Amino acid sequence: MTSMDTAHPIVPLRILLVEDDDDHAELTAVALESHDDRHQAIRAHDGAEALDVLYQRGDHAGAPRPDLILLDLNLPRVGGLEVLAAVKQDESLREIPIVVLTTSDAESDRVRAYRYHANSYLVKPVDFPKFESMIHELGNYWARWNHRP
Amino acid sequence: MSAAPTTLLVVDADATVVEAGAGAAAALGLPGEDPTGRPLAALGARASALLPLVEAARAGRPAEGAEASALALGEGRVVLALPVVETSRAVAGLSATQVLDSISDAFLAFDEEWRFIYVNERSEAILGRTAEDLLGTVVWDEYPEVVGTPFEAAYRQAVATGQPVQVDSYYEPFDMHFSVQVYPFAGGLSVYYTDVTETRRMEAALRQSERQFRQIAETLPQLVWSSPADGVPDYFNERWYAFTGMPRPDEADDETEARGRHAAWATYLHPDDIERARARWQHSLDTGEPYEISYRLLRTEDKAYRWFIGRADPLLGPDGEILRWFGTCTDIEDQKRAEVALRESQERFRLVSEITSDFAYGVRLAADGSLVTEWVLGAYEEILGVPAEIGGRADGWAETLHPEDREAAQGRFAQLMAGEPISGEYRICRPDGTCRWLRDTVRPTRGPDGALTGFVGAASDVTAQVEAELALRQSQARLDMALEGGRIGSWEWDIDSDVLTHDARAAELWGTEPGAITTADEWFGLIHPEDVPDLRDHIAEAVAEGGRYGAEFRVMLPGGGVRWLAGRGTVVPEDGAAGVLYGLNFDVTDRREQEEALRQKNAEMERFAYTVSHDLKSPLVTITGFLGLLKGHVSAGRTEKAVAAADRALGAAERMGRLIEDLLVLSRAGRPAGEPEPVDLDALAGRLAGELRGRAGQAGGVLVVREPLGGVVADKTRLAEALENLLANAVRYGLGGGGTRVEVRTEPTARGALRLVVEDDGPGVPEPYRDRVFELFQRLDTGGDGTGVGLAVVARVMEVLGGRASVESAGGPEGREGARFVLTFPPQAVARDRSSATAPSLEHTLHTS
Repeated sequence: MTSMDTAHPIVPLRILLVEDDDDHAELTAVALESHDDRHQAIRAHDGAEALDVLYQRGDHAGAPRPDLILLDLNLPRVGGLEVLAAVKQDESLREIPIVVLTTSDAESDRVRAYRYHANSYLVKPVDFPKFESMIHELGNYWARWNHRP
Repeated sequence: MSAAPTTLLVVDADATVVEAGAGAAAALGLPGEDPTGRPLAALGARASALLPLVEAARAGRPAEGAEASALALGEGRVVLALPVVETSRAVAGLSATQVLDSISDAFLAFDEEWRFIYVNERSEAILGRTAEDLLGTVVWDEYPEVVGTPFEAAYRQAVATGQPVQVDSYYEPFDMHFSVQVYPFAGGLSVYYTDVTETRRMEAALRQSERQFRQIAETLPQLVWSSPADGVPDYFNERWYAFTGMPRPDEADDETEARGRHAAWATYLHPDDIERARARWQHSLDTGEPYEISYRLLRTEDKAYRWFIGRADPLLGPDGEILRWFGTCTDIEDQKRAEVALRESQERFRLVSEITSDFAYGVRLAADGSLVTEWVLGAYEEILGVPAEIGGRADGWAETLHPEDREAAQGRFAQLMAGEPISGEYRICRPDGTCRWLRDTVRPTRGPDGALTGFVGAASDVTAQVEAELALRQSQARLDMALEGGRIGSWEWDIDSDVLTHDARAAELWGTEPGAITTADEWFGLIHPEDVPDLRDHIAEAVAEGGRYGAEFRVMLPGGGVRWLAGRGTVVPEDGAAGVLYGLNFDVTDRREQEEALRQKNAEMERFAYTVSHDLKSPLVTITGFLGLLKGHVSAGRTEKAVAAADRALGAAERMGRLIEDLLVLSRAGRPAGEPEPVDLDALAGRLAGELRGRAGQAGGVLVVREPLGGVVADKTRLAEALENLLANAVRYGLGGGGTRVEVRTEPTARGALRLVVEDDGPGVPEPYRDRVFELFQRLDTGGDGTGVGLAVVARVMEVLGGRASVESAGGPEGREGARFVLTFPPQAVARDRSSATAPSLEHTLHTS
């Protein structure tokens, strides 16, 4: 899907998608693509891999710097909150906006996420059209309206 | 001597008339009076005029005057011959000769040639010869035995000197003792003599008696004295001098001085007693009545007055005259003190009785065996409601006893009658129907023969005390019961003096010995350091405000561990002091542990709900997502994509089903499936290994059971679930992660526990994740078919079995470090009839089929 608003065009995003569940990753990717097929998603299967991407280590030595991070919380090995904390403590990475995208609507997760300076906290709706709609609005916000640093 | 009619008057040594002849009074110019017993000097001028004659006669001088003539009779006595006055002349009719004959003493006279010229009747009697027979004979011829005696010497001395001579001597021929007065006169010698044999004997006896008396007196414990008839003591025993400090006779300058001091005996008495003692003594002197009196004598040693009883008895002569007084002074101070003390004691008792509602009584055992009230002192009537009946029967006493007290009281009474002192408390019911508690102490009394004569008792009304004590005891018992039942320890802390006292239960709760903790700081030393500041604040606040405190805190037990105690206290302030904090402690450990367990359960539940909702929602999101895509693909006729989307949705649904299944297993893991029973681990592990043989082979490895594993006592079903999950986990991640071998073995520990080990040579579990792998939905892998529930089931089962599950490194090379999962069974769950430690090892290797 492409935007018709020429005054505020969509600027395609490089998105780091940190998600251990392949199905969720695919659904998110599908939703992003339907928003703007120019978006570029980089997949990390767990927190450790996400940090490798961000620090361009190992298999991700040449990985580009993402414009946005979509971060699941419940991840094997290094958890989502640990990734969040690591990024926001790093001078070179903290400007990258992080949107927590999770199935958890537990208050404790929400509170902790913001404590570690998450930029946004989104709960995946069970209803797919709503999920897709949420991803589109997310895309509009960060790709159309938001002015990046 | 005149031959004219005369009357005679005899005077004694004091010139007092002792005998008066008829007409003598008239001759003295005192007609009608009896001059006897009156001093001559007091009988008027005529009588006084006779005194020079009396003196002359006594001096042996011629004593003839116009008014009278006088003749000495010895011992100072003089007989006067007075001319009878006209009026009396006729009745007088007495001659001097008749007078001389009539006097009781012997009289005789010699002429110059020692011939008897006069012998009176008394002399005739003594000499045993008549005057007629003797007159004219020479004394030395008639009585040759007189020659050479003191009598002859006296006669001759009187003649030679012309002076009267007195001699007193024993005359052997007559065996008599004579006192002789010899008076020379012109042409002869008159001899007046008295038989003093009896007197001398008496005097000798008296002297002897006096010596004996003094000897005895010196040995007596009393103060002893004696005096002549005049009452002035001439003897005190040594004890008197020592007691009073009166100077001894040999310390006196002369006898007069000594006598003067003796006369002053009364000055040693207490001033208040002097007059009474003198009067009483004078009365005895006057009447001859025995003397007896109590008085205080000053003891020189300590200048203290002591009570004495003074007694004196007269020694009477043959004629009833008083010869001497013998007296004693007996120290009765101790007796007096005892009497005073007794009086005071009785008075005190009376006073105390009035104040304290006590009474005392005496009961006599009558001959017929009945009891008679002899005396009662004190508040008998006030207490018993009836007056005491002195002299009345006391047998009815038992009937007034409260029925519940009768048996015990009668038992005591039997003891009393057996001669034992008794003491007891009982109720007496008064006529008005009310009852009073008496505390009665009774002692038997005995006669001189030791036989029981009755008893004396002292009783107090202790109703108020007994009722108060009873109430207190009941209250205390209820309190004790409550404290004991509630395992509540009590203590009190005197805030100012910082003295902490407590009961045994408190000590037990604190984990100390009773009495070991005596100050607040010692007590705070028992408290868990984390709880001390708050506890101090609570207590300080209560003390400052004089109010209550309540807190819960931990005491650290000597054997390790803690006990949760609740403390409740109240400050009771005192005047001018901080007061006392009274407190209770009780054990709230169970409640605290339950609360803690509940908290943990709640947290776990919350986590569980969270993870469940998250992990169940996750496949749901997938299902709805792909169904949404499916719909689009179908609409657009993209069959291939539609089928792929449907497959994804189905996969997620299946995963969701597995997840739900695993969650059910987990929920059951916390509940026992059966009673603990002996579990043969070889059989169990062998069966499970057999079931997993195929999957192990597919993963390219072997599963080895190193027998014997031994046995445990456990819930077999749950243990099987745990071990199955553990083995499946090892096959899935150990062999699936590149490992080649899974080994099952057991290891005993030093403390008697048993470790069941499942070890692989796969990638292992990095150290940071070792605790988390047992948590629900925690997975190290991404993707795969694990649900993240299996190890949570293992941990839960082991927790319920009293053991625990853990994971450690198997110690392999990097990348193939290997995981060693360990199930640790506590000693009590280890079966002892088989030992895996010493049995030979046998390997069953399950190879790829």
